Amino acid sequence: MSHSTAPTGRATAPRTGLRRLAGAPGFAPLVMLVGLVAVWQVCVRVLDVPFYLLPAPSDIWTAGVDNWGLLWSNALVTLAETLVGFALSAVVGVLLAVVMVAWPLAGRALYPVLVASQVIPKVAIAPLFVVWIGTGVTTSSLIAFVMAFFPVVVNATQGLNSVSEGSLHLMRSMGASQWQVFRYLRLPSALPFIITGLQLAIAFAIVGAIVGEFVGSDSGLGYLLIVTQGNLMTDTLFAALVVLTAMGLLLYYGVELLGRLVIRWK
Amino acid sequence: MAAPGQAAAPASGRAARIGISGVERVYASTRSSVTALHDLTTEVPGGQFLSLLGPSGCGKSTLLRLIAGLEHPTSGTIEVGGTTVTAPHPDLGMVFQEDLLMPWRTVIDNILLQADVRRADRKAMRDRARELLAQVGLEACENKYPRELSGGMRQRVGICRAILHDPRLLLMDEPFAALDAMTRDQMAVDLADMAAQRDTTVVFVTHSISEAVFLSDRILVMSPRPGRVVADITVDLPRPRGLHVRETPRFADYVGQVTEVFEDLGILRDRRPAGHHEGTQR
Ligand SMILES: Nc1ncnc2c1ncn2[C@@H]1O[C@H](COP(=O)(O)OP(=O)(O)OP(=O)(O)O)[C@@H](O)[C@H]1O
Ligand SMILES: [Mg+2]
Repeated sequence: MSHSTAPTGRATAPRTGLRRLAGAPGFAPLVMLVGLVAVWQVCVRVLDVPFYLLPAPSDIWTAGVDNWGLLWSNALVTLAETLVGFALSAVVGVLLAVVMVAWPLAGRALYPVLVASQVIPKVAIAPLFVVWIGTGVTTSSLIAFVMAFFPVVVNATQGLNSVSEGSLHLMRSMGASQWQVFRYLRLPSALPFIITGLQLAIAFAIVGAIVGEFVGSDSGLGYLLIVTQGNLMTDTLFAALVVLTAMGLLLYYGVELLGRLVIRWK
Repeated sequence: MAAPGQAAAPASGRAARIGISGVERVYASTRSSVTALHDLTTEVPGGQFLSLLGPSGCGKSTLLRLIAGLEHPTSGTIEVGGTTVTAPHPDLGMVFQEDLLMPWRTVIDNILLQADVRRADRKAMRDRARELLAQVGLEACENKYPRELSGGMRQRVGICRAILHDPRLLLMDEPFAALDAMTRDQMAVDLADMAAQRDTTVVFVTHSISEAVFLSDRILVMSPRPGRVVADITVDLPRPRGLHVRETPRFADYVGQVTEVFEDLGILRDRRPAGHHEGTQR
């Protein structure tokens, strides 16, 4: 699910750079996006697709502008749930990893439980959360957390264990305590891995928050999706999806930026 | 033969004596077991500069790790300063075969790791770290990250880190391997000076015969695996030794002696002068 191969988070190929503009970061994705939207618009208009099946980008834009207040307030709810779930997953995930690395026995005991918690479909246990906690923001945050903490644990564990025997020898030759080995060697070694885990976690947290809102909530973008779908307000539904996607991208790259600020030595 | 250690620094008794008796180290895995060291017995008086010479894989690094207390002998005992080694000596400095710099620390902070772990005064140690950096010609690299350095530069930073706290037991595993010939000579001169001034026991692993002769009070030549001591040569050249000592007949004698041991072992076969294959001697 998550791998050590992308700790830098910058897997892009070297830029060929025929022109400076074409080489600018964000240029290629932007062209891609504009192209897609254009093709979409043309296809919908030419084939005369009914708007409740697939609205044209211009329809979605109009719906978005008309319902901006609604979209904004619900987006804030989803954002809050996502961030709470994400923060929980970051803290709990890293702490669990530390425990599992510090006490390998505990690690071996915990690991199957963690994997099990991950393979159970969240949509299946989400109703349970509703029964236990009730509907609302708390449930969605918790589901976001449950979905998001696993990649953090896995990556952090891998990172904390990614130290060479030689480095451990070096630390011991200086008389380092277990705590010092953790502080000066394991934790910094694990940082790039943890950032990778957090990037996955933020994406999962959004999905979790939406799942929570699907199952039982009266606010949030997920709730809005359900309502607009039921009323065949497909254009508003798409507008909500656009807002959701924008939020996801923003959060994801926010975490990546955070990573680059923390990991200055690369 | 001069008593080993006689050529060493003032006998303040600070430097640690090393006693190795009947040490065997077997690396056992499910499929095979490798005997890295076999029945090794020797005594290193405090303050002595001892070099270990021997073919690749003969157990030199293993012996250093055992003395350091990072690993334990399969049988036999190792003493440092009169007590059996069970954990790293509190006053140990170690240069590893790999540089093992922390990529997230700048050069100066890598050196100061030694101070951080030992909870020494970082401010005072920073000045000393700067001095050491200047001594190895890296004063301009203080705030660089390891990835910005060459292999030889990184190795020098590793040496500074190992001696920051002025250890009384210094273990160095091929510390000059990645250096160019000139820097290597300079480092050897500096190390010889340092070892003479400060009361430190040094165990130094190298593949260069002339470097070993130049630096050492005593040279142990080890056999191919399983490593045993096949020659124990006391180098009785006056100190301080300048680079020109290498042109003296007595120096050539010692180089010849060691070379002969390697020839007897069948490791050196042709009859070239010993210095030729290593480039530290013209
Ligand atoms: N951790 C280990 N596990 C298994 N075998 C080992 C281990 N460390 C060393 N050995 C074996 O012990 C022998 C001695 O290794 P060692 O690294 O001490 O040699 P060396 O003299 O330092 O060689 P070089 O000059 O190449 O550095 C080798 O055959 C090696 O394969
Ligand atoms: Mg070695």
